[in-house]
Amino acid sequence: MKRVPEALFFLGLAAFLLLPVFWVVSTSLKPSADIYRLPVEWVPRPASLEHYRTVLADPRVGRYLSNSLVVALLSSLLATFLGALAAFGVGRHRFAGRSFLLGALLLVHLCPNLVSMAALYRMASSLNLLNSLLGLVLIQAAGLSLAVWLLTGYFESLPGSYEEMARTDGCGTLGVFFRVVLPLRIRGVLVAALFLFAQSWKSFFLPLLLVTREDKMTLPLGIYQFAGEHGFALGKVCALSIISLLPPLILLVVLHRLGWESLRARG
Amino acid sequence: MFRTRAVWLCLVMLALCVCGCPRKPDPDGLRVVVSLPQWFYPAKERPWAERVWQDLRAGFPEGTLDLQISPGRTEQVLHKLHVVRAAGEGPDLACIRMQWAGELRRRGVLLPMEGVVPEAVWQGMVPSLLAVAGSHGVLDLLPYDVGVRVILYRKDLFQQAGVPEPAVGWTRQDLVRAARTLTEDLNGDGRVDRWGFGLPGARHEKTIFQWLPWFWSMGGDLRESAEGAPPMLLSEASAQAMQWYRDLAREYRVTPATIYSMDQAAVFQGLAGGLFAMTEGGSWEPALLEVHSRHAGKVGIGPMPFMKPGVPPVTLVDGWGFVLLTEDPEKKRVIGRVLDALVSARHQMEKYQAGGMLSPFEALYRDPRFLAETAAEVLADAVRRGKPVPDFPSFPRVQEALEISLQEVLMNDADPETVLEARQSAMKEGFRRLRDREPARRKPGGIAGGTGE
Repeated sequence: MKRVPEALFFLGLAAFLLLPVFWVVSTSLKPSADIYRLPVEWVPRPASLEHYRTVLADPRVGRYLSNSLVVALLSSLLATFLGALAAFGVGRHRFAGRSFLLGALLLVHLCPNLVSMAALYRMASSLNLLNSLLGLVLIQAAGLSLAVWLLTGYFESLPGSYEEMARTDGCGTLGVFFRVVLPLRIRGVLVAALFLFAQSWKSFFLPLLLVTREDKMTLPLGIYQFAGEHGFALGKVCALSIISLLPPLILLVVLHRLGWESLRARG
Repeated sequence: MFRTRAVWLCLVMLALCVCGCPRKPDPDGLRVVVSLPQWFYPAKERPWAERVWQDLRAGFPEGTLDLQISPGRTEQVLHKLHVVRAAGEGPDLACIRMQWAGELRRRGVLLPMEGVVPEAVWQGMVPSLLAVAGSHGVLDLLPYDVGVRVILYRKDLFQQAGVPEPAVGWTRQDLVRAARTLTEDLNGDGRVDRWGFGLPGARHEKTIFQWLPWFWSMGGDLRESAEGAPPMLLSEASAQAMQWYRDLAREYRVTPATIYSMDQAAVFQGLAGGLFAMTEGGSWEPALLEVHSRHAGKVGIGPMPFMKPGVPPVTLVDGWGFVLLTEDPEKKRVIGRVLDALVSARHQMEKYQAGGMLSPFEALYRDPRFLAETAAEVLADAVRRGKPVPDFPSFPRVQEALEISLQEVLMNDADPETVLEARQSAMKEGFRRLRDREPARRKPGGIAGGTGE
């Protein structure tokens, strides 16, 4: 009984947070002619899948989805792998300039993207990485400073005795990382990977800058292809937005049990 | 141990050098890059765009015409253009919003277009657009696609109520009379269910773009002084234009008192949904309603009313234009052919028929197919007498000050003169501080203090 007010509060909060998503779902299910109808009908009557059918029948959408998946998966894997290695070095070893290095990494992460974009563009252009998924993967993977920050403290909290025992058994530094630290801290690493995936998945300005060919566009750019200056196809945009939520949602569900406990353990 | 690490390091460096992707040589022939807005994408619902892409590419067989789409909100596309130019690269020809031209021009990004486009093209342009096409006698933007702000109204509601529809020569009194008749409590619960007029008053840049036609129609103007001082915010016209908004809500009660929280999208939705019988909106918007509401064919286009006797109504004309970003003479020749096709009377007519997008060239307004349209006279007149968005350097600050003033007038029912005077003092103080901090920026055409005109 004591928990009822608490439950009501959280239900209310959840409803508040989910309201915009519900509006998007509702709009995506409205026939075109009903989108601007007043008063707003939250439950579309009749519900129609016409926008989903239209966007899914468009061959561009499949391409946007696969491009986004390739870029987000590869960049998050690369960034997590390199970030975990760096975090292991920083978290488990004491060396001169360690605090400075961590501070610099944070600074890189906090620096507004726009500041470095001209240099990034120039670099990508001279390496022929414009209009290339490889270019997007490499540049998105540069977001690994987030992984380093997330994982440094997490690796640090591992008791030193584990590492000492591994070394006594003949493990080198990389052996300690791959055989001891990584298996014991895999959940945290997966959570970092999820954050990086989400960051890359929703990234808009970087693909806008580096990609001009329609066959290399990612989903956030693709959504705008349906939102023209002279005709905002709201139904299609909402349908595509809902579709774009699915891959991260599936990933979240898969990683949820693994990752949530590790975050809680970290406090 | 040290040797092993050194070997690894060398291997990694070698791999990086080998994998470093050298720039591929350009394909045979000339490559001309054209940046286009997202609405130019060839799609089933835009057959004119499909045909243009095919025609343009077919018309340049000796090289590659690389047509690139930049999706995104307009400001994001502008950011991209800035970044790409800062990196020393970018398209050879770009279709940009006309309101960006001033800023790009001041940064020296735009190149003169004389010689690229035949003289006859410039001569065929609607004279009101010459102000945005260049500066100091140098033409560097070729307008391509324009829209004007007009009165949008629900024809069905006007007819049901027996109210005369907005027509050329109508006045603010006519507007208020019509709006009063159309403001109704439809279900008898004592609350208004349909308002005669809808106006956005929320703090948003487009709100000021909607306010400007009323201000201009009151005889007002916003200009920097010759010394570069920002214009006076408080003038008879600015106070009257703000009072007009206030009166619609408080005096005539034909628009809700909560318009300070409504943006353009909300008002547009209200028009489509029947909450408003009339509003001020873009000339391209009725075409949108054909698709997205059950009111296809029911939205009419009317002219801005006479707000003052003897002062003809002036509206805002805005849109997209092409700017040249290369000095390569070979590319300029190709670009000339591309632009020639895009400004042709045939193409402009097809574009208009496809989505109501108006032309910056007089040819459209003399075409019998256009003249046969109901709103032809209204649209042609609005384009010819329209004014583009002001583009002097201090306009963003002036715009912000006007947005805040309008909010204060509508939200607090404040006196426009008092609000504008206070905002003007604050703005002047801000400019004075800026000038004191950055004396190097004090130059004609730049940011400066002073009282302005």
